[in-house]
Order: sequence, then structure tokens, then C-alpha cells
Amino acid sequence: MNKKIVIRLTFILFAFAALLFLIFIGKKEKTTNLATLDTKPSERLPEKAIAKPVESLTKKPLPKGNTDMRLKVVEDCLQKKWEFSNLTQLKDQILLSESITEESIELENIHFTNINKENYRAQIISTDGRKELRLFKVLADGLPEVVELPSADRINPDSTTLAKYIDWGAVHWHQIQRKLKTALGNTLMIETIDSQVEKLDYHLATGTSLHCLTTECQCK
Amino acid sequence: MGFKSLLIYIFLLTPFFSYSAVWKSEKTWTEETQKDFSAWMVKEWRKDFFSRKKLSDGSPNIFYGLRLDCADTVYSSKIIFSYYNKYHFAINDPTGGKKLITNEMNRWDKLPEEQRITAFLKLIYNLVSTKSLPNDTYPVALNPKIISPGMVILTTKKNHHSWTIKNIFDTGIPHLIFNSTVGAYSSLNLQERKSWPNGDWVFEDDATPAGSAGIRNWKPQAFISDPEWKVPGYSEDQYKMKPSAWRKNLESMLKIKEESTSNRLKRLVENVCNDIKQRSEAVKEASQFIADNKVSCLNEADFDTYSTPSRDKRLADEFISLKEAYREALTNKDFSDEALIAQLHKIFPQPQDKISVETKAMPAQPVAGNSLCVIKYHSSKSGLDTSIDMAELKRRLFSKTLSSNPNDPEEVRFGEQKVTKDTCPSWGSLELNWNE
Repeated sequence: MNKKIVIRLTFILFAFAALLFLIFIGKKEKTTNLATLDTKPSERLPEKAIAKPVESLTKKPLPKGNTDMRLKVVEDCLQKKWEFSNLTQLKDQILLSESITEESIELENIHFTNINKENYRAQIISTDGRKELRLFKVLADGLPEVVELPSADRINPDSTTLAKYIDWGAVHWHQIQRKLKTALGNTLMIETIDSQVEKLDYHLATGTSLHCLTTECQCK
Repeated sequence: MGFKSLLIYIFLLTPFFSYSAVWKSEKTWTEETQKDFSAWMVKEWRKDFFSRKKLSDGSPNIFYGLRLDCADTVYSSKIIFSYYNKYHFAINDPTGGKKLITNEMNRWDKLPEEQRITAFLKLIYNLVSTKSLPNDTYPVALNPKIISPGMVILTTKKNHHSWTIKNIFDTGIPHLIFNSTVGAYSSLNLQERKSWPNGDWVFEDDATPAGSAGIRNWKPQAFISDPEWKVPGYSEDQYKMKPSAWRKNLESMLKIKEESTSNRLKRLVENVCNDIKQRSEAVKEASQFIADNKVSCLNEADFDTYSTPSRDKRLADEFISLKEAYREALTNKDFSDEALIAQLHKIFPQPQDKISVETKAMPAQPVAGNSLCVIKYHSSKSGLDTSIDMAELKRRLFSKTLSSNPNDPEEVRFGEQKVTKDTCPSWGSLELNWNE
């Protein structure tokens, strides 16, 4: 191999490397600069005012707890697998919405996309009467990176504060974890995790448990 | 040159094309991994894990200086074990994303490995909480062959606390490593206790599987995305007993040999003393934070960080456990350690009475020769340091004169005087309640 060939080969390799570098690395999104975000929270808002709503949601609004589907799954499970001595009574209790004596939302995950096609996730964590808002930007790897919020906005945010960070019109996924309580002799607990009907996980407890994921149920 | 030189060029260019995971894993997490994990926890997991600058072999501790709350501590134990032993690590994305959070993440591939792992940990700390633990763990059967170091104890959402099990002694007593809410002024040391927590507190408000409380194990990798009830080994044993019986049942099930009464009492005294010292540190951190930041009232986030209602509740539980053990020992007449009896008598002068009744009749307890666990607090009013022993602290705690409010000065936090004027806002219930 003479010198010319070596130089040409080197040039080609570097050009190839540069091309690959641009394709795979150059496109990578920068990690959220927390220091900047910390001081200027409003500048990093996902431009919610001009965001386009996601099409599927404009046609089908988010279910609020999706009561019908939820109860259908429990009913199916009760009929198929639950060996309860007073099945009818139990079923009636669960199926009657007025038998639900307490409902508390414990966790909400809200996914939305702004007009720049940047994905954000908001999380509202409720603990013992205290709410905490967390905001994440989804990076190029599809995983979240925290967006620092001023503590005054983070703890117990009101609806105006939530609207400052969450583009409700551009939400494409909303998961609500809630706890329902109803009474049947001893307290019967039902905990559900709803997200647009794709996942339903029930815990019923009266000494025995019933778990359902979509329509597959298991009685323990 | 020729082909050889081509290989060299490719080798030199390789770093431009490659992505680096947080660490390169060689093994997947299976049920068998639990044994390795348990052995590592017993040997390596300690309360100064993040506060010692050097490891025992003299090398620098790359994890020095990380500040962790209780859930961070629990996740850290698994992540750091996986990192050192080249296991694959995966948890569900707590923000509801479908992709798992794993050691394969290449977001930090430009950093050296030691920085990648700490960057990964910091991301995890921003994501996880006691709310995410139920998705990554499952409740286990009450079986001595199953419950082992490395597992996790979780409370119901009401009390939102968690512990790691570092070890389980032959007596059925665990060695727990954990932490509480932390701020920039918090100690780098983790906390420890040698007893199972009070079942009434662990399962408070929801003693059913829906409460997710009790001892839980990490989901094996193959089941990480499945609901907990699909994981082999899932059990509802812990929900089939009264919460008040949970601790005693655990102890008696796990013990291989009896713990002597004297050792039991000394261990429980040590637990109470640890809690008192940790509370004392937390109070001083709050004072320091207020002084340095020149604030008259804490905002809600800082109030949450520096208030101590859960800590004070746990301290009350520890006192009650000690009192019960002392009463039992006196009834059974099976210990004769005169010095210890005198020390305990100072704390519990009427062991057969309820703690509230006993406390009412108790005069103020000055520090004396039979005092246990003497600590100091600084009174801003007098400008002096005041010493207080375990007996006096117990008297003030159960007469509800200790304050969990971080806005109060130290003399009020330690119950020397009641707060006269409280103009700052307060969040959450600070009232102390206990079950006896």
C-alpha cells in the first residue's frame, strides 16, 4: 500500500465516521439544563397555548375512572372465579356506584406533547392530603429527565399552577391511580389503576383478594 | 501496513461509534440472585455507605456525598449491588412510560464510568418514591426460607416510609438501614435500627394487599413489567394477620435461638437512643437551615423536609416496645442486671401502668448517674446548651410537649417550653398519637 492509498483510506474512514457521528450522535437531544430551568421556569414551558391536541383524544375524551369498563371487569371476574358465599350481594355492592363511600386519587401520570413535538410528563403525587407536582421532559432515549420546579409551584399546586405546566389540551395519556372504598360487612377495599382501559388492576380484600389485569383475573 | 493498518484505524475510530451503558451487565437478575444480594447486604451495606470518603481497601468511595431519602436508600441498595456485581438492573418507569429504566441507558456515555453510575443514581432519586416501590417489588410469604437480607419493608401510603433489611440475626431480629426526608443540611449518614417496625404503623389505614405494606422482594427481571400477583412467590400471608401481631409473628418465625432478656433490653435501649440522636441531628439541621437562610417561616417544601412528626411517632413506638419488654422481664423475673434495672426504672417508674398514666405522675428527670443516652440542645432564649436524658425526653414526648414543628426554636422542639406565639403556617398533622 503506498502513501497515497493510506491517505485516501484515512480520509474515507474519517468521512464515514463523521457521517455516522452526525446520524447517531448529532441528533441526540441535550440533557435538560436544570440550572437554567431552575431560575427561569416559565421559559421552559412546553408552549401549551399553541399546542395541537392529539387527534385520538379529541375524538375520544379521557375516561374519568372509566366506571363502566371497570365494573364490567369486576363483574366478569366475580362470575368466573370468585367463590364468595354471598356472591350476589357482593356483586351488587360493587356494581352500585352509590356503594362507593370514598374515592381518593393517589397518583396521576399525565403525558403530553407540545407543538415542537417535545414530550413531557407530569406526575401528581397525593400523600396524606399533600399534593406534589413533578415535571419531566422525555429525552431522545424515550426516558424522562426531571425539570426542576420552584418549590412554591411544586407543593400543593392549584389548578392555575397545574395549567402553567400541563398542556391539558395536548394530553395523550392519563393514568389515574385511585382508591375506592365500599362497605360490605367488613370494609371492602378496591384499588384501581386506570389508564384508558388498557390496564386495570384490582385489589379486593375481604380475606381473599381479586386481581385483574385487563380481563385476565386471578382470585387469591 | 495493509490490512493491519486498516484494523488499527477501525480500532481508533471505535469510540466514535459506540454507546456506553451505565455499566456493562453480565448477569440477569433472577430468584437465585437473592442469595448473592443477601450476602452483599450483610457485608457491605452500612449506615456510613455514603458518608465515608474511603472504602476499607483505601480506595475512594465514589458514592460519597449522595443524599438519599427513604425510597432512594432502598433503590440504591439494589442499584449499587448490581453495579459492583455486574448484574442487569431494571425498574419500571415511575412516570408511566413503557420503557424500563435500566443500566443500559446511554445518556451519559461521554462520562467516565464512575460518573455515569452517580448520574444514573441521581436520575433514579428524581424519579422514585415510596409510591413507585409497589411496582418494582412484591409481598413475600412469611417463611424463614424466603425472608432474607436485601428485601424491603414498606408502609402504607399514609405513612410513606421504607427500610432495607441489612441482616436478620439468629434471634429473628433484623438490622434495618434506612433514611428519612433529607435536605441540603442533612447528615450523610443513613439511619439504622435493630427491630421490626411496629405493624400498626406499617399497615396503618390499609392492612390489605391494596395497601402494599409489609416485607417485599424485588421482582425478578422476567416479571418486572407484570403485576405483582403474577410474580412467583407472591403471597398475601402478611395481610392475614392482625397488624399488631405482625412484628411478634415475624420474630418468632425467624428466630433460631432465643435472645436473652438482658440483650433484648439493651438492644431496645440502643434503638431508642439511636432515634433520639437522629432526632437531635434533624432538629439542629432545621435550626442551621433557618439561621443560614435567614427565614422566619419555612415554606411548605422546607417545612416537610425539616418537620419530624413521623420520626417522633417512631420514637414513641420504640419507647413503647422498650417498656413492654421491660414489663415482661419484670413479670418473668428473668434478668438480674441491677444497673440496667436502675436505668430503666428512671425511664419507666410505673412499668405496669399505661405510658400516659405513668408519664402524668412522673416528675422532671434531671441528668443523673443512672441516666441513659444524654444529649444536648441549644436554647436560643438562654444562649446555653442544656443536657437531657432518655427519661426526661420520654416524659416530654408522652406529655406531648416535644414539638415536631421545624419553625420552633430548639428549646421548644425539645419541650423545654411550649411555644407561646405561632405565627408561621403549618402543614400536615403534627399531633403525636400512639398505640399501646
